[in-house]
Amino acid sequence: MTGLRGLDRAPADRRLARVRAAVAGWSVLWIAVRFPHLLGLADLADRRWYPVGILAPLDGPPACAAVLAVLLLAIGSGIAAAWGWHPALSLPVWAAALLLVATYASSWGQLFHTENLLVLHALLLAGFAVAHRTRHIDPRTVLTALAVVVAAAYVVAAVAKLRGSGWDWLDGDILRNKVAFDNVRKSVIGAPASPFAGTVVGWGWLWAPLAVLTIAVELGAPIALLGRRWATSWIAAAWAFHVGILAIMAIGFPYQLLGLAYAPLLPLERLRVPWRVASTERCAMA
Amino acid sequence: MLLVLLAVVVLWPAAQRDPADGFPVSSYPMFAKRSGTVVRLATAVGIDRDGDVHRLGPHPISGSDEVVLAAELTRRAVEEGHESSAALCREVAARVDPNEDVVSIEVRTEVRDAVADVRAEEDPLEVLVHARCAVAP
Repeated sequence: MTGLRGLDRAPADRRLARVRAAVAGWSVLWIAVRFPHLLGLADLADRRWYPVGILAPLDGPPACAAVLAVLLLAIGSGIAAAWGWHPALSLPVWAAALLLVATYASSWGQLFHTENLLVLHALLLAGFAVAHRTRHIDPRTVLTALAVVVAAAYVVAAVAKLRGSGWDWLDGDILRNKVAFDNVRKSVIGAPASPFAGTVVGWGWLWAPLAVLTIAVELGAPIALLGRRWATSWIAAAWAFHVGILAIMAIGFPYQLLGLAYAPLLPLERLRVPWRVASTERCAMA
Repeated sequence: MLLVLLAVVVLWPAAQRDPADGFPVSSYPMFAKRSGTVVRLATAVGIDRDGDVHRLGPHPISGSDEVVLAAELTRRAVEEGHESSAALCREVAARVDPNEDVVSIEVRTEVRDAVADVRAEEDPLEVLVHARCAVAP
């Protein structure tokens, strides 16, 4: 069933195993696809280094060999974590390496918000895998924690908008101007902008309803924790919201668009997979 | 209790007096502030022998295919002043394909009406040149 309320422990355990496999598997694919870009960042001048998060203490960028080593570690441990191989070891190594890789990608002047939830989910999965060594962790608690982080992140985004501009945000002008800005910024760099932006920005009537819907989806995220129907409705709305962002801003949030961010609330336990995905119980015994 | 703690950690940036962005916990400030339709856009462009402007794309500008990285890197270079803009200019010049017609690079700010001209097809309202450098033949 979609959502978490009423979910029995056995299906929750299967769902968690699939969530872990999907999240870790996606991280491996993301790093593999972005490998040339991530490695290429090492060619940038040291003066372009604006470290954030755990890399903030570094005065200069790490050596290329260190970057390569962490990228390979993230891929290797990600495969192990997805497979369910010694989760108390593979998940923390994977989460730490992924945190380093994603932080490194955001330490060159532009914070990428597309990987926030991926990294937060990895850290949570790792934390629970380690805790599971010494005490039993109910898989429903882990799934709920993953879903809470998603809901909280959306709420933060709404609060930022309302704190930054007040209820004026709902008149739609700020949203329209930001969409226009983002597209024209792409154009002056020489990159493709959204093919729809030119038309859509001109539709003045559209932006107030879009702004209201944006805040409703973001502030309403916690309703996904209330039960199956609420979760289904909210996930559909949030997914459509990200499709909209892709269409009018040409910005893809792959973790959300692929449904992985919402995976803890989706009935993945019903999926038949042709390979073995170790459950947390079996992993704990390994 | 644990779940409440988690929610507090993720919500914490939103509760700050002056929310700062971070990673992986963010205040998601990108859409928060009101901005007008007229915007200032830092970029680097190529100039050919006839003085025509060529858009370069993200890779020559930043060494990466990430558009927002190229835009933000250029904005920061301009904000840091002439020395940083000139350094960026030289970096871009070194990355430009020598087979292109471009003979020089300009690091510049274009002032544009983003809503009226989303695709940047019109001439900018204003251009401020921060650095200019030659492309090695």
